[in-house]
Amino acid sequence: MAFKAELLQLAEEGIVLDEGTLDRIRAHHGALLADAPDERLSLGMRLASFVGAVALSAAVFFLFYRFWGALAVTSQVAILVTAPLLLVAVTHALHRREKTGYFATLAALTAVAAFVLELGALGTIFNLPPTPHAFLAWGLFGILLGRAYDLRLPHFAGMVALGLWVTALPGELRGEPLPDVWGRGEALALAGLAFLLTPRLAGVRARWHDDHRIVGMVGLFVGLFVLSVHGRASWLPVDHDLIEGLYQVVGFGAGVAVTAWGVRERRGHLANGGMIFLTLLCLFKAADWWWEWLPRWAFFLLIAAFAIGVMVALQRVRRAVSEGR
Amino acid sequence: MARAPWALPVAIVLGATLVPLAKVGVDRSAEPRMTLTLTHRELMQRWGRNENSGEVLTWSWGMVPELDSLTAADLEDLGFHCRDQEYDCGIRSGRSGWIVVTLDTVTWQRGVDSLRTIFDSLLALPPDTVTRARLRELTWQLEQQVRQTSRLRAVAVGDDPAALATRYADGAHLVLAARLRPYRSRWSGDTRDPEASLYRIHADPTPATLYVPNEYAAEVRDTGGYRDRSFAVTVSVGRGWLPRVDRVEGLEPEPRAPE
Repeated sequence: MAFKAELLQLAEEGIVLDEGTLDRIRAHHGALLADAPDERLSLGMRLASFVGAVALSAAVFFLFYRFWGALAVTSQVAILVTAPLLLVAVTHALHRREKTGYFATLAALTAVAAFVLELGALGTIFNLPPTPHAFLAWGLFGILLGRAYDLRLPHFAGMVALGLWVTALPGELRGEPLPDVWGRGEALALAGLAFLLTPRLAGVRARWHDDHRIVGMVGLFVGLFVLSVHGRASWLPVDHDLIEGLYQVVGFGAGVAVTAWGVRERRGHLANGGMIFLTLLCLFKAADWWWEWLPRWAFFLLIAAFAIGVMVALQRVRRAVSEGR
Repeated sequence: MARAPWALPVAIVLGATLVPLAKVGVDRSAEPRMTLTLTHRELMQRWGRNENSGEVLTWSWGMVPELDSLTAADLEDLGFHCRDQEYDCGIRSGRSGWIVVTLDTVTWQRGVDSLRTIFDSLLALPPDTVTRARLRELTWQLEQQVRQTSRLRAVAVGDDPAALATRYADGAHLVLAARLRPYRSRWSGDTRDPEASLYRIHADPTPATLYVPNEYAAEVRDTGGYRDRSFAVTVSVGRGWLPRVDRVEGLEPEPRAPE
């Protein structure tokens, strides 16, 4: 489509190619399009594959819980252990048959769900105390399955689980039980920062850099946001108001830094993520400072003015990203 | 692509499965450390199980599972460092520890006897409208006390299950993993000793439910308050301190309170 538009623009500007050259270009273009999948169809397939995987995972969960009460413990354990292994085999078979990976993604995500179900149900059956270390197993499984078959969604799910495990570690070492191990904002922000910087510091294949950065950025921003509004979630033994103020400043700094990084390296997800975080932080502070004493119309007028400012800023960020400045 | 790309994911599944199964194997490799028989009053069928065919029981308490009048020094022994200005000893979410539970039948029976005494004294009065209404109310209260009120209470908490088990090795207690949450109940100025704050510690068993194997599930099914069926549950704690339901037996329904 873009290529055809280029040709039209050339014609409009008076640059006319001879018929033979045009035929060769058309033939080349046709061959390219025949090999490459249609972009819209590809997006639709990705979406359908994701929705299918989520629905299939839910079906596996509900199917097991519908019938497990009628099974002896040994049968329950056998089914639980076999299901993820069987789904890995299905992923392998589908990956060999179909190179686009949509069906393999569906099977792989369902395998991750079956593994989550397995450890969760084993915990219930044997009355095991809940542990955050299950997230390490789920994370490694998702990441390794994704990397083995070059599938992005299970890899991303694995990164999220691994991020939750890293976040839980300091609380676990302090003897905090679940789910409170995730209650400290600094743990989440630091885990996010570590994930964000991993592609730079460790030898991760470029294919997976975006997953690292997205999971890291979300973790960092959520952690800082929680600390900026709820000082009690901090490890710092100082006044909560002081902690909130400190993390608001750190949050603004981190938002600006991530946006600038995204602009400099032409990474849209970082630039947009940073801007969205800055916007949310500003909106929250606006509500915090002005909701009480401004008339409602003035408050919303202010928000509208702010939104217009953000739109202008985002336009400039987009331009800067596309120009690589 | 590697020759066997599935190998590492499969190894993770097998390795991660082996950890809980090995724990359970060790736990059940010897005779249970402790055993206690409770009833449907103390372990209730969990409600709201929509499309879930498995049966789990939840702990029901006769008294809130708390120990009170603890000093900062008492809590220090449990690993909590409490300072006067902090309400929750700086650990709002609590930490993992152990709780000792038992059946307090004496307090429960006292409640039954007290209600029965009032009931009997009312029976001696002329049966006017007020007396009859009060008798109806007492009948309901007595039924609640006899059929539903739990006898379960916490008697101790600690950070060493073996030490607790040795201290309460009389066959009438269970040591369970728990989440311990201390909080200040009195400021230092409120107590006789102006220097001392007093604390409470709240303990919730973890996990919060006990799974009922399918051979016993029929005994507890549909007993969540709607029907008169009663059951006795034998709970054991194994070598690795994991609790488990060893046996469930249906009981004859409690006799109804006099009309």
